[in-house]
Amino acid sequence: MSYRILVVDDSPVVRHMIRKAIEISGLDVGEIVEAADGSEALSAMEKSWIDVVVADINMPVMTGAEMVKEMVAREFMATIPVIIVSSEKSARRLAELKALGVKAYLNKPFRPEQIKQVIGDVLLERKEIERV
Amino acid sequence: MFELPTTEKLTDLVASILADATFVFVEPVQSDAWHQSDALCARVVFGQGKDVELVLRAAPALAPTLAANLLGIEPESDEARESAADAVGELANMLAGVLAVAVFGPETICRISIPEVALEVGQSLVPIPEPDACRTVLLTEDGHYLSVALRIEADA
Repeated sequence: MSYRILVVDDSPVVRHMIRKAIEISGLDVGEIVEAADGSEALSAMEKSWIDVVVADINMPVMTGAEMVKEMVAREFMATIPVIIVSSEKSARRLAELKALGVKAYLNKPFRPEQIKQVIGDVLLERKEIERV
Repeated sequence: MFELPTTEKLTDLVASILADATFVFVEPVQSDAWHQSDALCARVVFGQGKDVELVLRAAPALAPTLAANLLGIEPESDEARESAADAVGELANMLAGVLAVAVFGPETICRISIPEVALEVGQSLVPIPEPDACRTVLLTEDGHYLSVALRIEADA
């Protein structure tokens, strides 16, 4: 099964970095979809199936935190795991997002192998849940 | 109450982020040593209530290298040139994340603005006028300058 991953960041450079890290990771990825803010990301999630969301926090129009709250409200969080990749390092912010159901949090700057590890772990967990 | 980091602490944090994110290694230099007039300038504001302005200035010739190293591409490529401004902005964003913790502590949720990036033409590096500010000027192995300045913003 090939996974569809949604990458959400207002910086084209960061979207490219994450895309490249995923492409060289060896993970079974069918398509990488991109969005520049939380609002675009929600539209993408409504249009087609997404297996994992990798999102920044600080974005224009709709932040990553607002996007996660909206995903909770629309019950997307029940089916779509979210990984936050952000320069924010506040322990309180991390706790707040984890309480909302965010699966993992990676700080910027990140190494490609960290992206691979985190996405791989989330996809594995998802596979095991589907098996049950 | 909060305080800006010392120049030495700021230098260490900036050098660490540059090395980790872009594999660019720097040494601090005297701030009046930079006479270059043009700079690609990224401005980010972070804080909670009282805000801190971060201004990152990079020599225009350095910016494609920063982009190239972030993206794993050639610095002479069109993509590196086209991504240069975004790369400087993203670097300022990463610095803001680290400095927000250094200034406000790990438990404070800070607002971090979206970076604003512009090419400053004909601007020379001026001395820091205010006491509530700090700056570090750094030189890369290739001889390019980069500076990071922090300033506590006046109340709105």
